[in-house]
Amino acid sequence: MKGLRLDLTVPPPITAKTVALGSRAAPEGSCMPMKLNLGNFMEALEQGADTIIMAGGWGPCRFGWFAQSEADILRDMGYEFELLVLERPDAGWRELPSRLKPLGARTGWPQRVRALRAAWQKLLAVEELEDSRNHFLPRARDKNAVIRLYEQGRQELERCDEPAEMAQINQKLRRSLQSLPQHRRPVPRVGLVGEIYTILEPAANYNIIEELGRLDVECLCSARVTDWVNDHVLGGRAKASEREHILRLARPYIGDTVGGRGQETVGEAVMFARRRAEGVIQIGPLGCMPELVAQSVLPELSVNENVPVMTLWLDEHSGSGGLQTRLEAFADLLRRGPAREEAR
Amino acid sequence: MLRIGLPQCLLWYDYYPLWKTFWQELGAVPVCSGPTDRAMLESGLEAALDELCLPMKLAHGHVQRLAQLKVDHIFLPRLVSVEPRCFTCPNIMGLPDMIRSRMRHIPPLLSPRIDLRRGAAHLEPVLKEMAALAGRRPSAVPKAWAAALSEQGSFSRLLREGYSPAEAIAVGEGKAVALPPPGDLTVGLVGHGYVVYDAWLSLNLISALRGLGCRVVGMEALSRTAVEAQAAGLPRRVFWSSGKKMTGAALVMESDPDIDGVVFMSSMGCGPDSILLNTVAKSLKATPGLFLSVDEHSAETAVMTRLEAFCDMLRRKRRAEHEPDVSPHGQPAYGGADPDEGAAARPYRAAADYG
Repeated sequence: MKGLRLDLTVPPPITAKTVALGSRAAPEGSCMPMKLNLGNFMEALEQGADTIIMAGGWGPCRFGWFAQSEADILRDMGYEFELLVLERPDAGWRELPSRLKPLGARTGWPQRVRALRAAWQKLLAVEELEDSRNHFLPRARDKNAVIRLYEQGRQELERCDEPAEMAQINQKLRRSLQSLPQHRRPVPRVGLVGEIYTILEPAANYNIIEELGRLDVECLCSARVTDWVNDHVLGGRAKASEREHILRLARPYIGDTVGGRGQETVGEAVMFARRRAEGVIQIGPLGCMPELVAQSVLPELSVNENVPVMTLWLDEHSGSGGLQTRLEAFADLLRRGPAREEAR
Repeated sequence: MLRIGLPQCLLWYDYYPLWKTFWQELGAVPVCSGPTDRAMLESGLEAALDELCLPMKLAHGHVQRLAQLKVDHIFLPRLVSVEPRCFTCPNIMGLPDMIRSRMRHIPPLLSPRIDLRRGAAHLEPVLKEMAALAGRRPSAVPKAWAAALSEQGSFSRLLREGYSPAEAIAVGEGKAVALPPPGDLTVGLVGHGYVVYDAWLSLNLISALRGLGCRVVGMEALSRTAVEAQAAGLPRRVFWSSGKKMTGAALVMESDPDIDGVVFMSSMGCGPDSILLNTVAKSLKATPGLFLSVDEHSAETAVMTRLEAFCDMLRRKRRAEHEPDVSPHGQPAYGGADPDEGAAARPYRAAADYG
């Protein structure tokens, strides 16, 4: 966006206030992503944003109607803004350029391409940074040091626009993380599967990756922004995709698409089990329909693949204390797992 | 003879005559699980995931009942889409997977994929597969399908005349069903067919409304073209078939002067409804609406109380329109006979009356 010379109002990080604002305005039966989303937009509009950009879709997941429904609610509340929905246009691809026109109004084509490429590089860099954290956090003795270094790296990345510099930041972080003393306890690995927003937004998942890391559990996670964009917008052209493989693994359980990431959740659970993860955790916002279908078949999968599976439904009423207890119990179970096998 | 079980849930209320006739024409015996009852709820609760909506849980119960009825196959198609550019809903799409994974000891599921997003052409192999199962040649399909479509057509016509699906099916089976005399009120009914037409699930919504003196107008009684046209006028296309019908129907009912009020019944936890409720509510401007949400803990008396209150309000509103000095809120709107009196003066006048 910066590259397109647009003034960007990034909604402030999600806080209790965001959740409260969003929950009050959203329909009672809607899911947590919609409530957080609404809260985000309300805070951004308060800060003076005049256009809302939001992803869309044409079903069957509810997400495809979020933009419309949220815009209706916000306009009823008296906010004034333009709505720009990024999606495959209903009337065909030819409509796309005219929709995106307002975004590129202040720039020419070369600049637009450069902006897109820079955005992509940055996403990749952020994901690499997260990978480093996810690897070292469960192994390090001083967990706070890992988090501190990671946060520092993230801030540096935010300020930087040069791919070469981004690589340097990542290298530096890896080196300093490597130098931290490590413990010798076993590090069980958990496959994290489920609804993509809940996986990606720490505020929506109560920072589950970090919490598990503090329990010496490593998170394997294949849901990423770049993969989603690659698979759903670019048709798999930007980088190698595991999607076909994952869907193949899911088909014995869910034979066809059920919208959202229902099939992917199941396929990834199988994939992680076969890559010898000690457990699988499914997370999703309470009431998420595709994830409900996935959860329905997980008990069968758990038996077939011999892997413990836990489902956590999250919403604005979940408490971090209750979540913590369940994660600790699950981590204990994973550590005891192999011993139980031997006793048999 | 091949016994094919048809669970009486979900889109059964929309397509039963079609599949019943098709199987009959192929020489099979269609067997229904029957109207929803308490035992189905209990077996459904046991088999299904807790977080699912009530109609989904009941679907598990209906399948369990069919297993007891000793059918050879349970016909539970994977309904991805029933019309171009629309889906059913994620849970309906995944229902065969959920049932297969969670219910043991049931007859084999017959779950062909039905996806009409890009037209009806791909139905042909599905129908031929069904014919093969019934021991018939593929050449038997066209005739059986034509008969099925014609039966479905007369079912739709009966719905247009104001029969409920249960009544229309009874008429189709040769029984004499008289429509109740039209009451003094006309109430439009909006909601998924498997919610509002399931007498057990909807807590006898239709008979309760009729008992209160209402003529009930279902979404299927409206002109389909009008519903489609209204839905197409929405700022964003609704991509669930049922949701599209509901939002379109609410707008048609709003513009119909004969309809006094609209009742929208939804099942607790329905994803599409949670998003579309706002759209439906906004489209009802001059026509009062009542929103009811039901689940397995709902009680008939609670629904009854709200329906009675709603009907009372509708009658009062009508009187207020015909006799200008009756307020819909029960108190006289103003004391004087002169309707031109300034609105601002009225509160003082009323206060003086109490004086």
